[in-house]
Amino acid sequence: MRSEFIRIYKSVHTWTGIVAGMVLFIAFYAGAITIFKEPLARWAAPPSAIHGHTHPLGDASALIVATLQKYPEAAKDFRLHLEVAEHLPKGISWEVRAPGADDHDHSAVRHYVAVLETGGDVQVEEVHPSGLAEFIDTLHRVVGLPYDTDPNRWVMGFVAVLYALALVSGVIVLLPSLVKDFFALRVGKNLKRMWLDAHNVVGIVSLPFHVVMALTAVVFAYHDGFYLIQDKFIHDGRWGSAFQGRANAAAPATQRDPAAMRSPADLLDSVRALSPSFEPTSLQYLNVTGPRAAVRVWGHDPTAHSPRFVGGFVAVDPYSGEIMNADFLPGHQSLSNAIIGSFFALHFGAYGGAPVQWIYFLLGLAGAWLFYGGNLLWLETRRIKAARTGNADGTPPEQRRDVRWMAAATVGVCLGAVCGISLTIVAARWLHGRVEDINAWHQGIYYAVFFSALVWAFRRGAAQSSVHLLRLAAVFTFAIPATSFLAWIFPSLGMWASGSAAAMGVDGTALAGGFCFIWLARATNRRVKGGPVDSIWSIRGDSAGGR
Amino acid sequence: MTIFTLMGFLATLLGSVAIYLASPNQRWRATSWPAPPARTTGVLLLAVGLISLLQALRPAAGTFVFVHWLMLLFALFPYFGALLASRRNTHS
Repeated sequence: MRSEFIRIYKSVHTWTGIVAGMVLFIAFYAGAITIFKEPLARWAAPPSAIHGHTHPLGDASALIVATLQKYPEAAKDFRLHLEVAEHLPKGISWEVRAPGADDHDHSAVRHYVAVLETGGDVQVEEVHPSGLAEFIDTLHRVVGLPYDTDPNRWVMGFVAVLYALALVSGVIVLLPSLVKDFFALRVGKNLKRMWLDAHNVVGIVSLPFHVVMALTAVVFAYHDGFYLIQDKFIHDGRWGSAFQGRANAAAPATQRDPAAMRSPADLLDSVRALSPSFEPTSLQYLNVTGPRAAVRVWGHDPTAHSPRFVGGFVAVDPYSGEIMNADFLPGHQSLSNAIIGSFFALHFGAYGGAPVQWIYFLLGLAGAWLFYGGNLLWLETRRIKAARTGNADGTPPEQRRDVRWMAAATVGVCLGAVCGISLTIVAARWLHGRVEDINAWHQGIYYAVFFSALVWAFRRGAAQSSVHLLRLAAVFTFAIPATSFLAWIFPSLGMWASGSAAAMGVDGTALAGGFCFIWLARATNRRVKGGPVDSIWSIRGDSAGGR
Repeated sequence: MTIFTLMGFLATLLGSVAIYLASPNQRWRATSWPAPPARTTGVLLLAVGLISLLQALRPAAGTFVFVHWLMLLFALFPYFGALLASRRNTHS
């Protein structure tokens, strides 16, 4: 390939990477944690009489009928959980969304739970589940922005387009030396070569993972627009009315009686007959008093990929027990649905169980490193070396201002996000019951830490602040298991320590993460104090560089 | 985890180790393994790994697990190599 083409692609790769890299770091770091969204939700869920307990399946029909008599508005969409976990309510639960709120805006939702009391009465309670896991997921979905709204998703989509361009151009740049340098990671005096190898190894080896992430992220951002275009040019604007027409044609005139519904156990039997390997986790009842009543039996099939993060489902008629739709049932989808579903599964890691979750967690962290390392490479490439331009008095040359700023921004944004996420996790237990709106506090704490880190990085320079912020990240991350330990030995603190493997897994992972940050802080400190002086990563170079 | 899943993960791990150690860029050992036999063994072990995973999982899920496990291993090996090499240099 002609060298001028390579140079063009290199420029494209550099500038798309540098524009999108830092926010992609946040998306990947938060995304890696979001893989363990359920364990995190369990870690953050306080003990309660309603959550974390089992409800006899035999009583579920009576509970549903009694609840709908008292609260008919719940008939539109309510859920019966089959699993027992700290964050899952026993009985049935439903949500009421504020009018006009965005579909993805979890702050606009009120949560209710109904349980059957001993006398047969229904007790309904508004509950306030922790929004911690949801907030970290939001950071992942909209590249560090606070709310998952349409405009923020469009920003994320634009970043994803840049990401896709960076991937394609990066591969083209690498092609001439791909075979020769495959697996190469040369650690030595040539720092630019080292960062280049470190960046290329992750980028090229995990390329399929990144291609899927980039393409699916673009679709997630602009799917409404894609549907609109499809409707206009393929369906002549009648897509919505086609579904509406079918619903009207099937609509009986009278309201249906929930007491006539099959029991949940019967519905589960229908699903098991269709797919013995499917493991149901919850039943979502939709419009049960209306003409198109349906129950979505959600769950996982350990042998197949799921079309959604939370699994797949089969729609069952609650009155006849007949299967209405198996288009989203893992392992039983048509070829076209299975292909579409596989893109969701590949983005979410919704297959293969816990081993795949760990693989995605590590690939997600490797992705975050890919973007951080890309910025380090950009900085090293623009380093002014003393050998060439050293001052006559022996002081190191002054580094360019844009390079110093980019270094500070890289350190501040990336490590600020890491510190912010760790501290906001810790806050879930320390602030529970002590503040009115803990979900607002999660946001406030994250952004306070994030912007403080950014300011600190610009004030103290990349070299010093990188060591400080890595140490801070270690402290905040160690605080996660330390919180569980303190809650266990000092119950008077008003916190709780969950004994479930999922919640203890969060503590164990955070402990390992804390040690990683300590190790990184030590390595960075060595470089800051003893590395090449003509570098923005040197304290001496930092001061010489002038701020 | 079924025995086939475990076998799939293990065979893929061993196969990818063999392929990495056959590379002239490997940093785990002072010299690389002889390329033709090591690569052949590696590819055969990867095939065993994939077939095992396909026994335990449906075709799409089995293939996805295999590819992602392989990506993770191949991304980590050079970093382990760099770590080992820097330790060796420190000791020597």
